[in-house]
Amino acid sequence: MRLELHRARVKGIRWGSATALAGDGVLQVNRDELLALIREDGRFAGVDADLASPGDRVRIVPVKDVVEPRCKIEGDGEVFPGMIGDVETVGQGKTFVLDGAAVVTCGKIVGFQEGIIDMSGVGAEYTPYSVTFNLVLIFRPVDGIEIYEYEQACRLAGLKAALYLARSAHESGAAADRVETFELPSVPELLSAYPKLPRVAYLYQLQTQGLLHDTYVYGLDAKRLIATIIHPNETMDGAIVSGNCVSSCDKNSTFTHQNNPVISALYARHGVDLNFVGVIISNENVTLIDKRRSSAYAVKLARILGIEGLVISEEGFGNPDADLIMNCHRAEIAGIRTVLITDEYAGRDGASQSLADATKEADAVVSCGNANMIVELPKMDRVIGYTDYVDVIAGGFSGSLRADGSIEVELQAITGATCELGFTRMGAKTL
Amino acid sequence: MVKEIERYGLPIVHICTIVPISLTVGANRIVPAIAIPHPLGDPTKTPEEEYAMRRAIVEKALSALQTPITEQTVF
Amino acid sequence: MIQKTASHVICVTNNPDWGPGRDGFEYVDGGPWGVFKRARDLVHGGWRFLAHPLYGNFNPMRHPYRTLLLESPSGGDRSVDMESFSMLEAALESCRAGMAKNYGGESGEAARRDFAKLDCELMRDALNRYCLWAPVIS
Repeated sequence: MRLELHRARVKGIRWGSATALAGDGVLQVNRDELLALIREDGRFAGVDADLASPGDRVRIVPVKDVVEPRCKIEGDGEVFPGMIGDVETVGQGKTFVLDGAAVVTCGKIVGFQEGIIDMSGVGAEYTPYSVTFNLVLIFRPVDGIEIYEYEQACRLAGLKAALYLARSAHESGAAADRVETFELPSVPELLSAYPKLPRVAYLYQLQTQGLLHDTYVYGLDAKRLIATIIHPNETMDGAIVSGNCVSSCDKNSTFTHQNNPVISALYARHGVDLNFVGVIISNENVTLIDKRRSSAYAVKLARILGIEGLVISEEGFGNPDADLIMNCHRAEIAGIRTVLITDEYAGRDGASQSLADATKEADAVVSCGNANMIVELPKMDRVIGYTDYVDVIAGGFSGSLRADGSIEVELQAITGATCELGFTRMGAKTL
Repeated sequence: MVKEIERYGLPIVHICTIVPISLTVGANRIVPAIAIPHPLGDPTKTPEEEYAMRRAIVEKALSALQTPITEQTVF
Repeated sequence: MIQKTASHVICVTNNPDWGPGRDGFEYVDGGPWGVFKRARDLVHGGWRFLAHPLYGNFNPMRHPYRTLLLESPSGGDRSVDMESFSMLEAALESCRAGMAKNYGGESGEAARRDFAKLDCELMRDALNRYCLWAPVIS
């Protein structure tokens, strides 16, 4: 399968009379047209839209999801298959990307909320979405709506807005600044092309615990999946979509599923020092029997593919740690070497055990940061969304939100801060 | 606590339920207990049967105290 | 596959949304810590978890409700299930960390209702599987 990403660089965002990418790289958005599209869903009592650019003294809270505007320009299907459109296999042909823009969904789903994005100041250093030009959608539900219905409406609205922006910009003549090509042929071709390179695969764990903790693959609740193979290009066309709002630092937003850095890194080294054989997706269900079934199945798939090395990422903490450790242990005793990618809940001093589970085979682990670290977020000039519930955001605590508008929170509260795909702004170096 | 007492040269026996944990923390003389809620008893037995079980465990522990060992030993 | 109703499966919970007096449910006071302590006593007696106790991406002390699914030991074997024991200890450790940081506290009736609902939803699949799910009282 071969996919070209046609990336048009976005250098600004403003309201305008038509949705298009202007010659200076500024994305103009027809606010009325966008809101009319989103308001078609009768489950909203109110929808508002706002803009936030890097450097603005603006705080967006509570953040549900972040989505990158993309649309198909050639090839089967449309982005976000099974969510907005049909379930035709994606990942081939050409996809247009508004590179540097993001749709951020924001608003009340339940009485406690998730996710802070600061566009400037200390908080901006910890979220990857302070450097994107953000179109923020703020939702208010109709009275008495069932939570499930409302969550779905919010999720679909973000995807529709992202598709609308990309499609409108492309149709109004936006041209790509660069084209990236991603091609991975069938397994027999891979094996005959690089017979001597180690066969490496990526085991991609998806959050699937239930309401506000779900992930969708071609529109299917991934809780219902058994571990299976997906072509990495399919993720670039939004085959995996987030229905997960909790917790904000380490939930994989739809944006990160579309831009998975593990997949990009494996592609970059494919044919160089490794043979990127494929991606296995698995889930993180709550029942232990589901965990064992998924883990056994995922590792079996790796063995069928003749995998020698497995990169495993998780999403979330607590019970997903059990899946991560189980997958590591099973793969290692089957003779497959593993590397794990996870964040840590190591206490405010970083000295506590980082994960809720352990195994001696987990001896190669990449950390995406300590979610318990405290940060002081300064007062911002403007808030998009609601601040009432910062105290009950995961990462906030009694007294978090101060009278002067500043916030003392754990990193856990900042959207994308310790993303376990490595899509973060934090790193480390060996001294 | 087992390790701290042993550091002063006093032999000590650890009567415990979860033997793997006792081995991991480094207890040298280990006697398996009955269960966490009742390490030296069993409420499902008669008082006489319980007494016999308790006595057997304590005697095993005392015997372990007197037994020279060269490595971690589960009695 | 439809699981047969298991007479040895119980749900230990402090969530009033499940409704009172339900078969297979044991109601506990004392917040999430109280629920975990009861589960600890059961696990020490040989019971094992059927669902991971640390479900939901919150520290358990942030969430006023906890619902745990456990299965009794079979036959006379009451030896401790090490997997359940480890999960329990991890859960208790997480609680202690949360209590030390003053997590939780009053969050208003709307939030309380939502927490209760979310707790039920996160355990929906697990209870369904073991035939303990039923529409909750709203």
